[in-house]
Amino acid sequence: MKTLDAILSSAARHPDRPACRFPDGEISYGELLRRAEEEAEGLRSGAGPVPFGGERSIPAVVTILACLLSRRPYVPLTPRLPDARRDAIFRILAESVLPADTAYILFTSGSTGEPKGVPISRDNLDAFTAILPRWFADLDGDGPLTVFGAAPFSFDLSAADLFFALCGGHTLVSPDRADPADAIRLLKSADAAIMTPTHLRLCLMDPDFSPAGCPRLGCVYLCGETLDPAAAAKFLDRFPSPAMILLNAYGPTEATSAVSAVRITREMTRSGDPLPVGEIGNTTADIRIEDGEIVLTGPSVFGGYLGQIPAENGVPHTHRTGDLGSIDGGLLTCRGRADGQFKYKGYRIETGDVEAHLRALPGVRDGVLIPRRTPDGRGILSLTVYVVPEDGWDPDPAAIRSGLAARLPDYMVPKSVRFLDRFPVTANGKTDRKAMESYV
Amino acid sequence: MSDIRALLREVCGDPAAGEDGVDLIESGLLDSLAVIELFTRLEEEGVVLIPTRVDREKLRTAAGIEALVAEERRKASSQSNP
Repeated sequence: MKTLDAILSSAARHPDRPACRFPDGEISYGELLRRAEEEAEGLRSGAGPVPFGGERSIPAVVTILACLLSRRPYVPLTPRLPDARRDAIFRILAESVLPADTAYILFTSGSTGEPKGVPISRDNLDAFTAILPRWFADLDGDGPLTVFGAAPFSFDLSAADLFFALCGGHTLVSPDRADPADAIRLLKSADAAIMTPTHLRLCLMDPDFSPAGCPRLGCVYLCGETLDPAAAAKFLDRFPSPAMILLNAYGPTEATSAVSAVRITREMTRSGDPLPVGEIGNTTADIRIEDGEIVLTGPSVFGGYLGQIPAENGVPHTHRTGDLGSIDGGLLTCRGRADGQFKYKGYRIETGDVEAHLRALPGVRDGVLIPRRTPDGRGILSLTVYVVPEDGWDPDPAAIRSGLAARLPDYMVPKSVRFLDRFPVTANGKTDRKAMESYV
Repeated sequence: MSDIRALLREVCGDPAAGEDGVDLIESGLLDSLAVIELFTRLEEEGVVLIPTRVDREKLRTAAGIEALVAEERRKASSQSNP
């Protein structure tokens, strides 16, 4: 496996170099490999997936490497997952036949209320890790880099910084998520940063996020949600050096973290169009548009969800993303969704997932989830649920929120709960979600 | 001066965010994304606040945020008219 070979080579060449510097400590490449070998010994006597808490920590990286060494799939779980959701994941893991050679499994929101397991094979992961040095090729520097990454391992944006760093023998640094100032402190000595566009906007509010404050920063890689042209322009104005690289990447979890990335220029931010997310010919999968939808085929595409019949091995897999897109002049652009799926804080959410749990709560006759957009289209600002209560039921927003918090990951729990006697309906008699979007 | 309470209602997505006695942080109304949006809107009006340096206690209530914004405006105007 090329990804594993590259990490082993990093450890053999630079055993004393720091591999990770996290809030819970620092570990060298040599020590990381020693501890992972030790853990892998134990793992080899068992079988099946290895779930663990997806918060960034040294033990989590040791477990990831131990799983790659022992050929057992690792399953990073969303931090602070409620018991009911975790039990659902464990049940799916226990009931499913795992495809051979699965590197890791991530769980994403499913439209029926059940989490969906996405198994990524070792070959899928190899296809992704092989392209990362190409995407970062313009980044100057011969020596080891300091790479900043903040997303939990349960969010596959993290695969970009984890494997770019470990395969390249670089040092991965991650902030204490409880301390908002820690990210800026680490960025002051980082060469490359991998984050969501939302996190970039937060960084841009700090004057120390500048060439003077972060003198080594040469590249920011963004993925996980739509990059607003205004935020990109603000970043390029703040870091005016022509050497600064702003990469906008795209890809669903099903195609291994990201399939494409493109360097964003000032001209692109001024065009008034959505920013491109990829460059055809520099991708981990073949990308085509079918009836407006982005369709992926190739080595980074998974073989099917857990519990479904896996695609044949040896045949290139295809994934219909559900993302609308276009290709112009060799550049791929995303143009939203045609269904109820959306990105919030970088996480993917199906409205049907939240609504299935909402309608199962006591006192709820009917309920819908309305993601509220910012007026200028910066993205989803907050989640609101509208509830029609059962007759005689006392409407209590706190009860609805705590009921959902007991069933769903925290990023899916809406901030606002509103009660209506009935939902507005369209001329066809369907619930009028558009009308409710304008209620706030 | 813009209406801070209307802005809070808008960025938090809930009418309760503009009311007195509501703990915006405890209630989850003013989460990280809402803070970014709130500060972005204020910046567009010339009030520059830095999320990592603002005292979080002052973000707890609508009145606290009003006081914070008023203070920043005072500082900005005293700098431009010494």
